[in-house]
Amino acid sequence: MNNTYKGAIILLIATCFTMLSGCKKELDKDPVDILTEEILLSDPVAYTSHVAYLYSQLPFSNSFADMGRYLSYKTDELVNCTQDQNASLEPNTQWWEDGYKVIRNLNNLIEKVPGSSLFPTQEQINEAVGEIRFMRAFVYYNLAWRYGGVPIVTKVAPLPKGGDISELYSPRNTELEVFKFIETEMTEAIAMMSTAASFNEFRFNKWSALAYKSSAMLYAASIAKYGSVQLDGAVGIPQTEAAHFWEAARDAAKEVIDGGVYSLYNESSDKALNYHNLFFDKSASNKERVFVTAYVWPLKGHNFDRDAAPFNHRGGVGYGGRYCPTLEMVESYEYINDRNGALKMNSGGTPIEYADPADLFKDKDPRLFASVLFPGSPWKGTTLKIYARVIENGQEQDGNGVDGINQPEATSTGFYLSKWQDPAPPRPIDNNSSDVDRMYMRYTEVLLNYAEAQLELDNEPEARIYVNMIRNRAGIEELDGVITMDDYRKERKIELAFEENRYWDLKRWRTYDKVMNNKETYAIWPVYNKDKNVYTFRRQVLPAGKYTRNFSANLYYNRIPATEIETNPLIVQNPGY
Amino acid sequence: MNQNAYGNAFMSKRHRWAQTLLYMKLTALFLLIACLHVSAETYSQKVSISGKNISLKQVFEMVKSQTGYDAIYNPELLKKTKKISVNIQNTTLQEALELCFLNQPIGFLIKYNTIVLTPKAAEKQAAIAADHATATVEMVQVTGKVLSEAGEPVNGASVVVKGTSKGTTTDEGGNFTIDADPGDILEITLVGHISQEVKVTSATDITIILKQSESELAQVVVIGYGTQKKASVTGAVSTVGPSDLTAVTTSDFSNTLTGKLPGLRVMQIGGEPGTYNNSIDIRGWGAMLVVVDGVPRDDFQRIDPAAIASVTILKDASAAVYGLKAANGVMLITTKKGQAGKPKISFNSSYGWQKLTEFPKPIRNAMDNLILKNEAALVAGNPLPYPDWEKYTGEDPDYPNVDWWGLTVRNAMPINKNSVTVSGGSEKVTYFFTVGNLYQSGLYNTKSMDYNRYNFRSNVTAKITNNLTANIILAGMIDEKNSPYGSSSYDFFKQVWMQPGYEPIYANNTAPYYYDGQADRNPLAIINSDLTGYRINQLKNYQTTATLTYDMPFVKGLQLQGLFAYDMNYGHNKIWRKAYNEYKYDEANDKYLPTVLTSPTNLQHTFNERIYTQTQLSVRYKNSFGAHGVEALVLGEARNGSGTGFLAQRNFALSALDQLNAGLNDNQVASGTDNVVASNQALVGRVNYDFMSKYLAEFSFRYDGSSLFPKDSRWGFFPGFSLGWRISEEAFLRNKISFLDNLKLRFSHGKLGDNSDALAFADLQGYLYPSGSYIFDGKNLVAGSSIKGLPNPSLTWYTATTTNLGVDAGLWNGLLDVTVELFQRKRNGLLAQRAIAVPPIFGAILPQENLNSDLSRGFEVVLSHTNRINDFTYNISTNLTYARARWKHYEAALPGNSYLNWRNSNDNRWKGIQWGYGIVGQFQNQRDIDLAPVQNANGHSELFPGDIWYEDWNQDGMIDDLDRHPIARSVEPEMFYGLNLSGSWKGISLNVFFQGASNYSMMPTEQLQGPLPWGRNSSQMFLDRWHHEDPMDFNSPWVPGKYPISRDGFGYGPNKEASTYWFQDVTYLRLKSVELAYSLPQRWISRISSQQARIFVNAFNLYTWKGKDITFDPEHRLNGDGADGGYKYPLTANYNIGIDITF
Repeated sequence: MNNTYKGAIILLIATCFTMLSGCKKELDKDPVDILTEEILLSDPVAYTSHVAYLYSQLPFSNSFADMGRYLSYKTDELVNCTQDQNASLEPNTQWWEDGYKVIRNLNNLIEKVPGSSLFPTQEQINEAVGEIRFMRAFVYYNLAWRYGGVPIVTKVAPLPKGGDISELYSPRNTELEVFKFIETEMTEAIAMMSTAASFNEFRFNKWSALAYKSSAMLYAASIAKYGSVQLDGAVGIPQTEAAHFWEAARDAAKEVIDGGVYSLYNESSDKALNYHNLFFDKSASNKERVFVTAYVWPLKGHNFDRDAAPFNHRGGVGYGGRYCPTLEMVESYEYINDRNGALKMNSGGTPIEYADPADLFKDKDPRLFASVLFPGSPWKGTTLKIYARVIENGQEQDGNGVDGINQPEATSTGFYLSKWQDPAPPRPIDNNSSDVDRMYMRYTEVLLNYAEAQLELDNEPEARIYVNMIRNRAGIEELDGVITMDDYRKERKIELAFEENRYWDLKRWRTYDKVMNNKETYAIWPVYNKDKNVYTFRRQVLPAGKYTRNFSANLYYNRIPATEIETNPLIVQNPGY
Repeated sequence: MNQNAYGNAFMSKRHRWAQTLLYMKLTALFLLIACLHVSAETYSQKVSISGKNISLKQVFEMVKSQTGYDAIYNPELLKKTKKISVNIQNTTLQEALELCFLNQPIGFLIKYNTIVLTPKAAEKQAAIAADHATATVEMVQVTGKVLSEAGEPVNGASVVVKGTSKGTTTDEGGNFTIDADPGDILEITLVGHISQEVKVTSATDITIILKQSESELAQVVVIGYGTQKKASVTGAVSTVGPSDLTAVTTSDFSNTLTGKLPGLRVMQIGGEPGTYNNSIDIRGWGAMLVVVDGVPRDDFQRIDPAAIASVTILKDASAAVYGLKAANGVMLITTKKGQAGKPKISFNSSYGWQKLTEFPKPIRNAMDNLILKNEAALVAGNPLPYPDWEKYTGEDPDYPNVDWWGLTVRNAMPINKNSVTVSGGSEKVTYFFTVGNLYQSGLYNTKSMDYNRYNFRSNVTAKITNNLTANIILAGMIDEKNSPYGSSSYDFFKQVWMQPGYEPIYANNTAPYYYDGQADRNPLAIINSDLTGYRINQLKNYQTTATLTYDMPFVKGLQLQGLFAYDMNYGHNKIWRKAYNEYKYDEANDKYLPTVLTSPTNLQHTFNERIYTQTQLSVRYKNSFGAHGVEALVLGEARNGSGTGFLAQRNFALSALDQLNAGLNDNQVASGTDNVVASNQALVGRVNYDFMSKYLAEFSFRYDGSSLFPKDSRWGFFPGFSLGWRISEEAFLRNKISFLDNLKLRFSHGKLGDNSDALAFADLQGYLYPSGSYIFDGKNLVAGSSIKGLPNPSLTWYTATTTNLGVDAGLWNGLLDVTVELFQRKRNGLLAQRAIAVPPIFGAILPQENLNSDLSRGFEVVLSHTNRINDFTYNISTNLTYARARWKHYEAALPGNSYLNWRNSNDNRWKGIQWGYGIVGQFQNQRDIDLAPVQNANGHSELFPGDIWYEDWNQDGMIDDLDRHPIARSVEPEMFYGLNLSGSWKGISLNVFFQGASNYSMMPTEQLQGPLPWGRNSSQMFLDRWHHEDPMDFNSPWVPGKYPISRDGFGYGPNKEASTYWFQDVTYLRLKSVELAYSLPQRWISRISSQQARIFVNAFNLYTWKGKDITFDPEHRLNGDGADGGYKYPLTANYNIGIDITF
């Protein structure tokens, strides 16, 4: 019986042990990955981490991270060798929902940062509030770009008690109201920001904020001048407002110019090299960097080299040839001394024979050499061969092999894009192996904005100065006569080519349909005559089915997402959807 | 518990122990007699016995109190005795008992302070035996006869001297002969019959009547937190024992369960060694809870089947005792324990080969590929890219012809499995030890993939005191998988399917300059670990379970039990990526031009650790009062889980040393992984009641709390009940319908809970950190913190209410057993975000809420037939499970109109419905194309004969989104079935197992949907295509084929729409396993002192019957499962030979 009691005692001890450990509130755990709002509003490091997250969510176009969102595909600038281009020109990504998510976060910060213990001085608080208010205005600007008038939400709404979501319904403000709101907010935010000449180009500061303000005001002015008011002002801005916005754009740009913190990049006498380096030079001497999203391998890399590479220079991961500039785009580049950029392929109806295919491009605008690869371009120590046909023993054959454009992943237009492509990558091309920064706002754009506003305000001489400043830096002849709006727009197209500006410019000038519709897309077909060792070139129309693009008028505004229409009965859909 | 033939149902354990001692004493006595050559003495002790109408039992009690003499008897014998009235004073024991036994039908013997009751006839014999005990010094040769209840001789029954290895079997006349000591116990067993034990007396001729067992009703099955007699089970419970689990030799234990348990659905997704990616669920309800030896443990697929005693699944309210996570059913795995007796050592070994089952292969020569490419160029209106295609024979090095598939994939991959088991024990301590090893190799010809696993397990039970038992289970599973760096099966199949045969292996045909061809990487290079690096995945899993059980001494049937489990899980992955070159040859300069790949060389280590503890305390009570049986359980349980880990990574300048400390400091990465904490606590209760084993009732509950939920909503109460009625026990049926052995009706209903997918800290408002990142200074990444979204302080369990109605019937003594179950599960409060129901301008990320509900219904049928014809015993059993689920409510924004509602709503809709186009067929000629409705945005300009002709479903003259309609049911099977055939004849046994699934469909993706991806190679099947008679002449007549004409880049987009052309009904029946085994005759193996030796051959995934259009293995889901998109490692068919030997 003794043993029996022993057993009972052992079990009793075990029981007590278990009970004790059970009492320790085992079910109340501390989170391992959550910061409370208290911490966020008292610890500057935690605050910065949230701001970092919000910057990463801002609606920049993102050609490096995601080919599918690259807006140049939607224009006459280039095509994708592997895809049908005849898909709708409606952008692949919607910004409505993500935009309002960021706005809610920013509203929350704007409400709480002023009363927080984050910063010791009022200046620092102002600086911080200025930054987040500008971020909010920037998001509204991006929404207005896409949708016209949108509901202006400036407060953090609680989830209605009892689930009556009708409290959350809100109608659209007019597009005018939205741009006025953007103007006021940007102005006030800029006033809160420090005027120090030293700045950080990776986040909004007084100067980059002013630069973006000039773009926003330019956009509003263009809509007023070229668009039409519909849906009681939900989209469109009355023409009477145009002058005000032109002036606002001019003044903001002028303030940047007068600030003197930026200058055009001009570090090399080789104009093509200079223009190329502009996008690669991360050093402080590059005074053209107004707003930049940084990439640092291997922490954060992108795929531009992988996707843009000429077929026979691809990395081990494949891809390549995804960005193929059109012949039309290449011919938009002028010759140094000749404003007609058409390539000289034929003479009196017979093809001109070139021993060096690069000679076809001789004397073109140096910016072409820094932006586009063509047959005969020097590339990574070799000369790029691209041919569509080979003539051997008098017989014409299809262009096979790594240099032939018959490869499904080789260029379909005869050209590759080289604007951000690294001619000497520090590492083999792989997924996310590239870390060229993406400059979203550069000083040249500010100058162009200024020139455009002056031109629209009938101050052509002032505009001409700035257009010529840019042409001069590029290395082509300056314009001496009176410059027209077409001259200006062509200059803007070339200088900012492939930087995703053209998509928005065509929209605000309301010229999208004229540029895109009923147009054929052309490629250049290099024909290599092996017998004579010469090249001839043909202008080749790309198959209509795959490369025709049509812009219907409703695309000047995006479709408001069905989720909003379905859940918020006060929202009116944009015209044509 | 089995009753000893001489046991007394009313004896306590202590008495039984005394009884055993007594047998030993008797044996000693006989020996003593033999030595001394004297007769047993006459007992002279005096006793007094008196009383009116007293039973013999009372007499024995009086004797015991006066003399200390115990009585030993078979209660059956005592039942026959009459009560007596006596008054005996001060008489010798012998005389007194003679008086008491005067008119009784039985006699007695007094031996060594013990009274033994004997049948009258045996009395004399026993006396003679005692008197002539000299004869028993040596063994008696016992001869006997085993008869059936009907009096027919029973052949093949096993007769074993208990506790020894001596044994024999009965011959055709039912006779056996065996040497045994008097006092030994003979055990007579035969499948399907109740085992009998007979004590050897001096009688040398014994007749034993072997009763057929009441099918499996007497069998004890494991249920939640306990065991139950099968006859009393009221829930939907299925179980298998070890004999059903051995016929398959693969690494994944769940493969041995496929189709064996009705309701358990196991599908093999792939056969990659060490991957364990089978899809397993119960009744289609999602991932189930797996409980191994009483403790939830996920990693059951690595268990060595040699250690499994039983696997049970709980499919209804019977799982409610597991509350948390039991909503999808529970699988209970019980591992083997030792049995008292001499040590038993078993050795099991098998060796086998794996071959790929049906798997799409690429075109394996250059010319077929070039024909497709030329055709594609003609279709696109381009000149022929390869007019000289006929030269690619491989004879001229300029015109290579490479079979990449044959170069890279092995035909037969070895698999090898060994285990040693030792078990045995004494009355006080029993033990079971097993150690096993499994080796499996992968499909790469370079032998760069293999898998090694070691299992060990020990299970020791010790009786510390009479009432206190301790049990300790220690188990470990340690494995390592080696594979080349660059070839997850996804990478490999993608490359090898694409690599064209007209590209050489090596640049300039010179090794080792791997040719840099069109495929992203040279398939042969990426499976070469020496060149490109490797991956090592290691897992170490240790499980400890300690249990103390205490039988309360003062209350009969009351038991206290404590359990503590501590599980440790360590994972380590090492990924060594080597930079390497592929080459092109520059003939002009005689140079090999390198392309550097996977650079820089990099090493990544990931370590993680998970610890789980589980504490259980329970009180159990079991007793019966006359016809009332009662069982009760109260149990408290606490579980804690925590995990942590880290990752470290460095780049290397040198690729000679694959050690982290040889790497560069620049760009090194270190980060944490898998930081988790979670706990839950529960109180469980259950009461069972039965009346005359005829009416059965059970009620159970679980009160469960989880740390995942906010404080105020973390506790859930999950009750369940079940009822059973054994109709066959009713007087109006019993013995009236002779063929009906068993008929039982069961009903159960219960509520269960689930917290899977619940995000922790739903009540906290805050910011997730780290989340996203941004660079503020051009150099350093700043970790971001994103807002968590709105809190939901009332997030709680979602509940599943299951209802089950079952019927079990046993007919004609095992000739037909039937079980039918009808079930449904309704779930409420499934987690979803209301996001789509509030305006997006609200801007907040909405929290998880308990919003959705669904309903799943189905049935199961099990039929089984067991019979024996002379020496041939066989069993046929088959089962079928059907289940289909639909949403009751699926949270979504209100649809704008009735079309959108029809198109998008999921409310009250079957799950998994596939939308797409119907087809008229394939265009046969240009006329068809001209007359057809507008097929796509390009009109008909790009269509050719052979292209898919879509049905204008809404008859508006054009094919567009409005023509999409439901065209296929779920991509998950709704029906599973299995058929098991087994038979044995003299030492030979054969087991054949079929398994299949039905009511589902699949649509191939990527390279299985079109030829020439990125203009490279194609799957072989696309050779069966529409083409021209002269493939190089576009004007020659069309030759029809199965697939459309060859077009570059995965074929023609519009042909690849989801449509009835691609969706195939995948119904299949598979010969899953076959095993043929031969048990060597006793007379051979006794020479090596072996008790049993068995050799076997088995095969797995042997043959599949399926629709002729299914060009792939139907279990291997090629319909694009996430990123894998058909590039998953194929299934294998295994062929093994092996041996089982027991000493």
